[in-house]
Amino acid sequence: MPNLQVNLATLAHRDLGPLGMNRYGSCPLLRYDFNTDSPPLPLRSMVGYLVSLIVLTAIYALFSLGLNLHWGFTGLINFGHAAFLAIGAYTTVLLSLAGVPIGLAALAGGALAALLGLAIGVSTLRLREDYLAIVTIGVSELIRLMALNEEWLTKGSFGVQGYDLPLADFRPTVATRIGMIAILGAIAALSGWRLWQWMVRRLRGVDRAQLGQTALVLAGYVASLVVLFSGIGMTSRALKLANTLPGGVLILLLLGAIVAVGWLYGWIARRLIIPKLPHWEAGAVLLSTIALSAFGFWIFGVSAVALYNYRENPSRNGLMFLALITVAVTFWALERLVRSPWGRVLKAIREDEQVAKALGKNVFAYKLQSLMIGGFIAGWRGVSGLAVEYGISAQFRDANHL
Amino acid sequence: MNDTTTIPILPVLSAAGLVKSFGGVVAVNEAAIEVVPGSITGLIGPNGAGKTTLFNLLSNFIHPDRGRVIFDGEPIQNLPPHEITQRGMVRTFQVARVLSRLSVLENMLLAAQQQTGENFWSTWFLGGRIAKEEREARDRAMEILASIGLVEKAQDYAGGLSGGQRKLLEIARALMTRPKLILLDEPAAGVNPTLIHQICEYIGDRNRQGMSFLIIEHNMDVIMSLCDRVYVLAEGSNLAVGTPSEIQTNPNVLEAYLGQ
Repeated sequence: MPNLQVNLATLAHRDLGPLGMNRYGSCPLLRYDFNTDSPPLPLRSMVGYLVSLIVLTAIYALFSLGLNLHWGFTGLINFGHAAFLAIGAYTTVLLSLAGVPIGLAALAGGALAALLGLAIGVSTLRLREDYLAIVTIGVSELIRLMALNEEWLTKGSFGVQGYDLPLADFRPTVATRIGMIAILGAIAALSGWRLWQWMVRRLRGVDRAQLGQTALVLAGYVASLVVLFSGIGMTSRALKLANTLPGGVLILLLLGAIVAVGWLYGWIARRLIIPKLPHWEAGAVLLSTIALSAFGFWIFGVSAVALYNYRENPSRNGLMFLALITVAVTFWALERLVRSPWGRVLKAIREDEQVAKALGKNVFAYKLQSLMIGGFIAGWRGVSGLAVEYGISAQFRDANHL
Repeated sequence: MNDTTTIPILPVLSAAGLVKSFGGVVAVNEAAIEVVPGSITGLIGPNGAGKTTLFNLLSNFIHPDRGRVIFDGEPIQNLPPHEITQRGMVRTFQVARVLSRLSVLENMLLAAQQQTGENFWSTWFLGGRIAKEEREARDRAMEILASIGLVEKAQDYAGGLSGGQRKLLEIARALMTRPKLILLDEPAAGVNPTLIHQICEYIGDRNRQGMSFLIIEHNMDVIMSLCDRVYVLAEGSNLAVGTPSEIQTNPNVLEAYLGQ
């Protein structure tokens, strides 16, 4: 199916911005349905679309993990995380274009991003904390302008293109593909288990029967909201059609009734029932766990289908596989770090660095380490080839908006 | 400094000629202080006399313009604050500072010194040793918390403690560093009388076990009941030094506190 391949390839590049919208503000998925001569199987195009979305999500997840180490755990006000991202991405891609193996290039990208952290940290971390904020903004702007103007190196605003994606030539056998699916399955199972543990912890000591009641009412409330909003959507659509269609009035009345029912039930639930429910937070915990599990299971299903049909789009599916593994490994490593005595010092610095100092901790050294490791995480995601996602200059622009 | 102490042992802490000015204001002017091992030394003075600044100079939270601080036989005036703590001199703060979003126990565990797990690389390769150290530190922390009466609160966030409990936690945390000398900045300020009594007893207990203290305090009952020697600071300089009863009857001290 050549048509599908072409469309997915364009989707792979700049056309797909954040949220999966293309630059015209419409969803590519819909474009396949209406604009192609031979419509691809809806399921396949949806899988391709979701795979792109998973890769994007992974990029931002890694970005946030590094930033969370800075802001969340150490209290370092870093306004220029995109600078770490850009250094890592450009280093990885340019080195791999020069013939360096992608794994080494990605490590170099991470290392250079960490060095940027060192440079920023050494110059500002001993001053009051405002200066770190100022300098990080300045440095990220500096690097953005350099990337934009040093065209001999970075191709300016065109961005570097035409490099090899990792695993693009990889043609896994059935056994390998099933192995890859099993690895993702293990990650999914582990996440599910953690979610389950969280829920069990939160629901400890809550009466089962009351919990069931509460969850049912809350589910009804959420359903009423869904009915309400989709009803409003459909009604406004019907309003447009009502001019041309006979019987449009009937449709309008029907939809109006749906909206009214959704609103009424929602109002009754919110005003009269929910406040009287015991443990309504527990019900929300239960509901959100169920919803998250279902969503996670669905995403796992999609990625499993994509991996099984690896040939449909090797580079993209390979990218997704590497991206998910990178996120999982990074998350695991960070969790381990922040739960260690090392992480305890970071949290102490966040809370009150004078106390950390008075208790014999070298505050400066720890801040520097945090800055470098967070930078490395932003830089090293090139390991999964994420640097190359939809052209690195575009990515940097987006990231700079954060 | 040629004081009247007859004990022929070296002071654990001695500072001389300390000067610090902020712009035109000379906050500490040629101040000197000595703490004999195993003693409780008091530091008093009217508001604005420079007591807390002197504490900051001793622990190098503020670098002195001039002067010298000897701790345990070695000059420390050029060491960064964390190294001073590592050598065994720990300070507390006038307004108790706890790490609010860490549990009381975590506050304690943080204070343990020379932890293998605080090294980035060790967290990856020395898991067993770190777990063992954590267990030991935990036991010791619970022991100290039990002795100071905070064991019930061990798992609570430190931000939820009352003012008095925060003071207790600060003292407990300081003890957790296994110090030779603790500098307490107003341990009884803003604490109800029952708890003041408890804090005093606790400091006394620890002192009988050999711990040295240097205490800033406005509460004269605390100073009189605890201290072996009292330094009086006025306008940044030493005004008097002696036993609590000598200080109480010293006309210069009365004048500094009450005016003429």
